[in-house]
Amino acid sequence: MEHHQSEILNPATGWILMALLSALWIGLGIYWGKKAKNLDGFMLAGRNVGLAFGTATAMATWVTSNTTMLAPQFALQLGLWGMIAYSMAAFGLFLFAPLARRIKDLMPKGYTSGDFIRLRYGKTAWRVFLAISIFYSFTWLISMGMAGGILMNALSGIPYAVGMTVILGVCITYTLFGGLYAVIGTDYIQSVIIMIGVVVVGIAVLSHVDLSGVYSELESNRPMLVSVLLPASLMAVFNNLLFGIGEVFHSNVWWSRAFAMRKGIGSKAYTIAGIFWLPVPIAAGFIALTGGSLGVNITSPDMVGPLMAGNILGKAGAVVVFVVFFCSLASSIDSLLAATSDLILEDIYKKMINRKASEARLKRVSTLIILGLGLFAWLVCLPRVGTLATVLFFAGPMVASTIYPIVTGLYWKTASAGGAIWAMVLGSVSGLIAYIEVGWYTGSLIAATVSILTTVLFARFQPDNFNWKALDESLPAPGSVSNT
Amino acid sequence: MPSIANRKNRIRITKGRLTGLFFLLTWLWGAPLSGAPPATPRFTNDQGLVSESGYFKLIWATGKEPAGVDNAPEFLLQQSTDSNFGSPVVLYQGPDLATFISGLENGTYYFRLKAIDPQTREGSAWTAPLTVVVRHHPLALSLTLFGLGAIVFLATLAIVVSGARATRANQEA
Repeated sequence: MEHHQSEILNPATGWILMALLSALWIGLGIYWGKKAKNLDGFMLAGRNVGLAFGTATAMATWVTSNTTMLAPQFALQLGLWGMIAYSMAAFGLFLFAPLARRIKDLMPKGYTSGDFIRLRYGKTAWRVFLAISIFYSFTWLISMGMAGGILMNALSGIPYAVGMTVILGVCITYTLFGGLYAVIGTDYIQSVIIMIGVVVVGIAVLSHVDLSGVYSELESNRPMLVSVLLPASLMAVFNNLLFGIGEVFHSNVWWSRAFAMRKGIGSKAYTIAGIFWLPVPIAAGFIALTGGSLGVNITSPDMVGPLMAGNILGKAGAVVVFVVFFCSLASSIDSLLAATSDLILEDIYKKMINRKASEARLKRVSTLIILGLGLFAWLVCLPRVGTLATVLFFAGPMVASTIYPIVTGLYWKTASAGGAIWAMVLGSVSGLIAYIEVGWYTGSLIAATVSILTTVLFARFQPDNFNWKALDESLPAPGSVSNT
Repeated sequence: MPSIANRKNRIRITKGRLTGLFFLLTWLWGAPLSGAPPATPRFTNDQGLVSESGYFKLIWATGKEPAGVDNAPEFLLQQSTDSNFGSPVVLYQGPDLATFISGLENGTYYFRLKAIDPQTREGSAWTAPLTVVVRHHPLALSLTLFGLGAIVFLATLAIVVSGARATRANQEA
């Protein structure tokens, strides 16, 4: 529900910016999409992505509505710890770096994270994993569609439903034309714009804001935001870190990039992307804390980032913010559309419905899946239920429960199917109970704790002895247990 | 003495005047009167809100639909820890219909609101105070979960680092 928020740009400026950015991304998407000559090109950009594009796409995808809009929301709700909690999500990228190398070694011809779970743990675990992963993808997509509508409404007064429709429509269009080539190409430009924009906004904010004034205002009017003992934020620190790790470890968005990058590139690209990403939520979050001292009213916590940046920097600054936020959203929505459609195409359509589908048929089905995903997300975004945090973090317990089936499945031969299934089920259930009974800032933490205990106990008392060669589908099916 | 016909006539005239007066008053009641104070707004939050996180959102509505954008009132929102608003703090003044509040310490907080006509600066009556209780989660629970999170994170780090080292050692061998 909208409660009238005073905007910064006039709607005409907002419409012009939106039209220009939409035309730019669709044009570039079509241009890069011409490289996608076959299905491997469309889904995995020919498995030949180098370090610069690999780093840029990882960084741009992780700088999303989650960073530019949720990090300020965290700071507004949870204070200084909230900013730090958000930046801890960088560990998702850091820890995925060695995993990316391992994935590429074990599955040189793999397509999705679902492929890994199916080959490693069998069909029951695969179905549980797919349910979690597809549910998460929807919540992420919905939170970003909502963020697009909120952003344009907050900055320029464009109605929420219109802004949300445009950003989803633009990303669907260029992803349809170019697949992962278009996604990675646009991500490269978008990451450059985001980095320049964050530096410009950061410098401008620091030159406009009196830091001691901000601190005094917080200390006298909102003291818990600068307290190191704010209970909800203490719980949020590792909750967010584990949610971030779970998001990256399980999601096909990151696995598809690991498959798409050249051998030896993934590990470096994810580490560099994490280093570049780390300061962004701190810079974005700090802006939210200046609201009180500048007398800006915030009607909804998820609007605080763009509103404060626009208020501090004036109309010219609001234009920069509009462009940066539009890029950050587009770079993630396109990635998610492409990766989720790959997951549904490869793991559901190709493996469960039509094993003998031709490449042309698969491409047509992929188009329908992308359109269906976009339409579904649009329908759910329309009523604007909840804030971004509550929508996204609802998937947190499920996502965190997949961390240990993934990580032990990649490194431990003893990790078993039973352990993976029970870790995902018990972790998700216990995490959701914590989410409802205590707060959204505890769900992922409880889920991860239950998941690690379950996985380790199964590996210890009911160990498997997995043959790593079974993960490479390009090899003949192994008949014996390997000792590698 | 007036005749019966005259008396009936006078009664008819008086009835006509009263009817006219009635319609005039009805019209005046419905029309925005210049100089009349705006209607008292109302909070749409439930009374007795409890927050365990220290943040919450206050939402309100105008007392009566404004006749147009130009007549949309401003609102003045005050906060106090005293139900009589002995030393109130002004939280917001402007046209928005909600505000997000965070960072409050444990305690009971009272909020009241009034509408202000943007042209005449005349204010409505204050709303009845809205009470919000901030009762943060117990610190012991928070620190326990913080510690648990640190242990789980370190364990995750150990699994990844040891796994990556073992793999590299195997490849080199």
